[in-house]
Amino acid sequence: MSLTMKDLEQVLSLANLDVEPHEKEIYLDQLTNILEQMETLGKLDLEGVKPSAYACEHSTFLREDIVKQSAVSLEKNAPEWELNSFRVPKILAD
Amino acid sequence: MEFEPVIGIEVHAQLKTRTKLFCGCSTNSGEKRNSNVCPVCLGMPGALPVLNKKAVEYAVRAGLALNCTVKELSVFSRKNYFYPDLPKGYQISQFDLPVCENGSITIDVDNRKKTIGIQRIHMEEDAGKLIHQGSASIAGADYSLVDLNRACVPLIEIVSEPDIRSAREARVYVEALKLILQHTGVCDGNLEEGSLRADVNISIRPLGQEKLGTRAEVKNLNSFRSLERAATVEIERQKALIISGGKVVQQTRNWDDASQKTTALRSKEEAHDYRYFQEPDLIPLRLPVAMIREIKNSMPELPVKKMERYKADLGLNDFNSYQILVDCDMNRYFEECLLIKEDIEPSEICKWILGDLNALVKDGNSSFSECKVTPEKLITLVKLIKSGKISGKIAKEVIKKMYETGADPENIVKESGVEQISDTDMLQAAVDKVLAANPDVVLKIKAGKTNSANFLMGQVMRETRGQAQPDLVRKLILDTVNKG
Ligand SMILES: [Zn+2]
Repeated sequence: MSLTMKDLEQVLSLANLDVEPHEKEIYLDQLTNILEQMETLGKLDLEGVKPSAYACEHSTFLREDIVKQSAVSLEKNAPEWELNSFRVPKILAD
Repeated sequence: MEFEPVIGIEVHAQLKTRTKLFCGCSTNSGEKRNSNVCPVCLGMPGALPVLNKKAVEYAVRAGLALNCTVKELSVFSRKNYFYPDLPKGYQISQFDLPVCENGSITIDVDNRKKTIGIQRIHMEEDAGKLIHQGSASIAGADYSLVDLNRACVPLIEIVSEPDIRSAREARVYVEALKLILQHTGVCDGNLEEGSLRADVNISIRPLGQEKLGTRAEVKNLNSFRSLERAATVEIERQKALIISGGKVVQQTRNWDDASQKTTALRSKEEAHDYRYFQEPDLIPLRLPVAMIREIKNSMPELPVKKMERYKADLGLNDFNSYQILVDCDMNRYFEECLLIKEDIEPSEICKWILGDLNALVKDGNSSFSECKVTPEKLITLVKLIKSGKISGKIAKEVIKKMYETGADPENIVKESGVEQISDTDMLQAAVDKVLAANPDVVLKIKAGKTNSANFLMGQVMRETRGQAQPDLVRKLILDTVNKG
């Protein structure tokens, strides 16, 4: 698998990152290197092996639907606090 | 050129759990702002989500009710975006492996059956609520306040196939979904209060064309009326746009009830804009077959089945069996009445619930669950009519008093002296008095004009202040005249 400059630019745009053109060449090279490491897997016989994103085969733990109040000191965690609410700046620009 | 609308609907339904999807905070958002929050739903570093079992059960229940395949393996993913109502900077949702897939429901659109495919149902957490300051809407606001009581409240998103072809069908589909979700106890289905939210994706294409047109998504639909209206308006907008040589752009549009228009909100995102990836803090959800079977076996009766039962077993007509079903609270009341009805006709109970009692409840801005006329008391009232103790007309007055005071119908009848007179001796005296005063009418009856007895009946009713049992009076009049 090889990464094209177009792929890299797409990833950079999705991640909202600004990168200088000469740096792009460096990153493309580095990323390609990492992806090539993965090619090792292609040498293995994976016939009948299910893809896994997790190393663990268990199911996630399920919690009973019982209310637990927790005390959090909100004011201390809020840069700005008003009327029991977190105050945030203007969302839409004029 | 003739156009065909193609509509798909995403419905978000809030699950009726006590606690949030990934933490033990209460789902009661009506309380003081930010009172039901904890490190998990606040998105504090290091806090880990733990999945609510009940939410999973409800999602599976909804899937089974909508004829879906329930997946033994499903996975949570992060949907990344920045917005002040989303404390973690991502929403935990399901993406490529949702809990239910491939369902369908059959709806009845003005007496025509139509099957709408359900593409998928996935679980996700709700975002918080923004209260804009300095202006009613986000545009023009000086700043905003964030309330996170609603953050992390469990939702299911039900995604339909683009099988819907008109604004009317769109409305009927969401109405049908609402009924199913309510009757399965999964969601209270309140469009006005937002526990059920429908986003309608609309595109149009020339009739006969296979390829789909560019779609726009319409949001902010707070009632079934606005949903149908908004879809109609959006279809017309797209038609006019295309006919005048324009192009529909993919975007999210906001419905405004006041102006009856949709306006552009933002360009519609693609999935890749959200940089989805599998949630590292939650391992996959594996549902044991036994658990799915258990949920299946404990499914409440679905509205379609219930309606069939009302028609076939209880003898209710189409209209009444639907009406007694649409209001869940009222339906529960009716079912409770059925349990204790003894020899009372279900249609008679249904008539009182849909008629007088419903009017009282609506007028009082109340609900059947808090109604002072309990099912037991209503049955007693209907029994009083059936046994001839009171007339149907008097019963209408009695039920009003019952509604106001919560008193027993028997006590009301005794205290107000409205009990129907069915004592023959007492009535005979009144009949004799009326006959003696109207010899000319008696002659007419003797001559075969039995209709004239109606006049005498009226007189007897007046004598007895309307409390005589009409059938008995009529019989007494005719018997006395014929004997004399
Ligand atoms: Zn919490």
